[in-house]
Amino acid sequence: MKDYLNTAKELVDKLALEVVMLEPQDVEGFGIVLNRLDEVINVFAEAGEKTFASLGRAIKSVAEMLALDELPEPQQGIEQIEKGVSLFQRILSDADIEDASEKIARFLPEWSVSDSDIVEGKSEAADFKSDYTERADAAMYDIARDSELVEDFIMEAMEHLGTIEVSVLDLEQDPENIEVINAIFRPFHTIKGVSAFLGFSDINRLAHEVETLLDDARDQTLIVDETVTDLVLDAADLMKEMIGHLRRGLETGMVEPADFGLEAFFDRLGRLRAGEVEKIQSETSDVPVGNDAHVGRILIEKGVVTEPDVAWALERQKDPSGQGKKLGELLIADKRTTARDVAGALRAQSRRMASGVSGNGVESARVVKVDTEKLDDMVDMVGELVITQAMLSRGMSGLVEQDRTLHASLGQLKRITSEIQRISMSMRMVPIKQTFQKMIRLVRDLSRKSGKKVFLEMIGEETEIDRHMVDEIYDPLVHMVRNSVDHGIERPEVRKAMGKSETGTVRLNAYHKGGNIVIEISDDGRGLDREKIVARAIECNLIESGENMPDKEVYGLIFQPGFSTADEVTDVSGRGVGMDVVKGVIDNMRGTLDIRSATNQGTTILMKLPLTLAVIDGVTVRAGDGNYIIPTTSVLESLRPARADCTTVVERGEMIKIRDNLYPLVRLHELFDFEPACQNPWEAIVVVAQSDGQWKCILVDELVGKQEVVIKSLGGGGQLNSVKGLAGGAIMADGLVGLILDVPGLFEISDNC
Amino acid sequence: MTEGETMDHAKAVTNREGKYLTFALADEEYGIGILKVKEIIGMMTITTVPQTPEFVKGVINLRGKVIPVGDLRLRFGIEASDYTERTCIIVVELEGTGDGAGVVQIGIVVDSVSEVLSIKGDEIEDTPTFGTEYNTDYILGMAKIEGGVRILLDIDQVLNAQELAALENAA
Repeated sequence: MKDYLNTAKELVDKLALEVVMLEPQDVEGFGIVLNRLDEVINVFAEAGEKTFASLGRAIKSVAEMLALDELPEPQQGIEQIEKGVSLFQRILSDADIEDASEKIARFLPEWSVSDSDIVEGKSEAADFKSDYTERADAAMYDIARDSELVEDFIMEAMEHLGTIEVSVLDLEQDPENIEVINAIFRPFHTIKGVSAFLGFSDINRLAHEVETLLDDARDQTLIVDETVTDLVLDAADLMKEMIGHLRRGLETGMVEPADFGLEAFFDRLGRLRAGEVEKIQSETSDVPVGNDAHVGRILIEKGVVTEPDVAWALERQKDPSGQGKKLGELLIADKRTTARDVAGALRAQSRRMASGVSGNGVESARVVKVDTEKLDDMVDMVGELVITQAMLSRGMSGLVEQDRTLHASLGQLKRITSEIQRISMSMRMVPIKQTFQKMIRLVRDLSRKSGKKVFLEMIGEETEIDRHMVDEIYDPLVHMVRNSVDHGIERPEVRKAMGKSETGTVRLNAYHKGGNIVIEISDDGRGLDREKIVARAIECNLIESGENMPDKEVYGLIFQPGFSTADEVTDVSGRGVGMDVVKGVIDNMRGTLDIRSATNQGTTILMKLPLTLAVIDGVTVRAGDGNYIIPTTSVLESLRPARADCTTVVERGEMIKIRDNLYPLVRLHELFDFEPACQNPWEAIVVVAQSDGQWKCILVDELVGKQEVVIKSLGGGGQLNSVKGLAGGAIMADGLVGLILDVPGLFEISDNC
Repeated sequence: MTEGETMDHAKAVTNREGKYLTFALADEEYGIGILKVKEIIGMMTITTVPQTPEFVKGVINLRGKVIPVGDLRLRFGIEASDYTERTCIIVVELEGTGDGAGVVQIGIVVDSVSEVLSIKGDEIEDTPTFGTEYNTDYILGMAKIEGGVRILLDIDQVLNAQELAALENAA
């Protein structure tokens, strides 16, 4: 009859340990404690011991308030929880239920009253309890009420799932590494804890099941193989779907029940566990529990226990009464040490473990999350600071000559401002690592599907890239990696026959070069087939013949819309759309694409992108009263034409002849309706600009220089942003606003004139 | 007047009660709700933006942010005048109307800024109608106070985006 008491006792003992390790703000810790409390409550509820369950609930409600950061004195709250748990322990060790009920009945009101002290009388003990029951009874969580909390959960969960994916792939390389299993286990565990307390039961269940599976793997009762890793990845995908659903729900304020095929997944999981566990159970009876020895050593190092104590405990672990118990538990039970010391040792142990397994995806960057708007504001302000500093220096230049200290101070100011500017610009940047890591999964899935063996090599993961570009380059990158695996790398047997290693390599390489970021996607596959491309291009009427065409131009043909050389349409690529889309995206980012290829040696695609989307390299020109910036990528050259080269073609406007080519002239002042300083091209300057293969000369008054400017919206809620021919504004060195020209738009209006 | 109407009327009056920043434009004094005003800056060089309605003077650099500036004289069809020492730009915050737009800052050029007035609800009269030809939606009401009448503007309506777009299309 009292079987459940033993279970409960064990659970409460574990709980006590976890509570000792609890610290305010430690969300993960609260997740663990809340999970454990649920287990305790369940045990008592099933046994019909209402008083015990109510004590558990009371403790849980305090823990929940702590996790929500609702208590003004978190430390006191934790002490409160500790008191409650130690009462649990005392009662359970007495094992006299009738007596215990009385004790709890006596304790509870007293406890609740003191608890209401914590919240400064704001909530009466009674309120506090009823509040809890309400929460527990609400089957569907009111998503709107705690939308902030849910938002945080979604964000964190997505991050955790990202870590999980990386770790699972590590696990495939090293299936027996307990640390890596832990690295997968921990995030799932956190998701489980938080989802439970937010009431997302489906997510909670899924996390719980995966956790159980991983637990088996950790206890070595389950051998990690591809089926297991596949299953864990599928679980991660499923969870992503559920969280995505949640996010959509958050936007509409309503979470509609949806079926994610959880049952089917659980079936699969259950079958795997049932089958595998039986098969290998016999081998695992006396696996030494190595980790606990570490705890013992740490305790000895700290001088908490002596060596004989640990030896005794290890001895005890072997005999039947101590079987399956942890070393720490044994030591505490025999009063040789305290729970707090063991907890400290366990913490030290996990720290040591963590430091030993960096590189397995368990490292966590020290990062502060900042609203991007704040960041942009700061960059704006820093820009102003630089301008003001320049103005100050100029204004002071007379005084500086007489005052050496002033000179030194101004120099110092200049250095500091430029350093601040450099730092503030770098804050927009993130390492490309995250984007690259997503490719690991892609390559893995693709190679599975196609039966090819592919190794993904990544170089320059630390290369930094504008955070806005991260999302932009993702799709093109996926496309190119797919192409490499699908069309580039040959099947293993083909590779072997050719004397190559069976495993193909896809290499991602990112580096900075001359103010650009370059991303190379290369493979050691069959290379591009020149003949095939030419044949296909003729078929599509893109060219008439491939003779005398340089390789580079031939390869460039694959960026043409509707071009695909794949013989067969596979699941992943070869549908005739692809590289043209990639090119479109890269063009939008003002980047360029370059292909190198050699037959049977592989293909390399070089993606050259500007360092940031926020900054544009431009030629500054003056026309009328205004400064205009023309993006350098669309400028070919600028010159003052000779009078003889300017011709007016009847009804076709003006043309300028430059080295035997005739270009139409676009008069900026006519399009934008202002008064220019010079009307005649031979007295002014023409800038030869290009858009979509079209070349035109833009007439301006004078060339000011070439500089990098930060692109800004023209403001006013977007009405000014639709002005044709303008891409935005930029703040110039004199503090005035210059207008950035949009060359394609400009050509369009000039065509309609 | 029925009871319901009286109540509505009373509500509207209390809603309009509050502090207003008053400014001069030609011969009239106008007011805009103080909560709409972000700041007042002196006249500065404005970069003209082509292909915009006439009253949009261009854009300025407000401490690193580019914001559009409109001339209220031109918006109301009053004859333009040269800018003087007393000419100011009042930066107002409007509710954005575009996709995902938050608060939008726009500068308006006025002849001179006068003072901040506390105007009581019973000092505000409803806008008289001048016939259907004139749209008076952008006028909140008329405040009768010592020293004359102030025209209280609903600045969101004055610079509302649809109207701007319509103007743009007409241009």
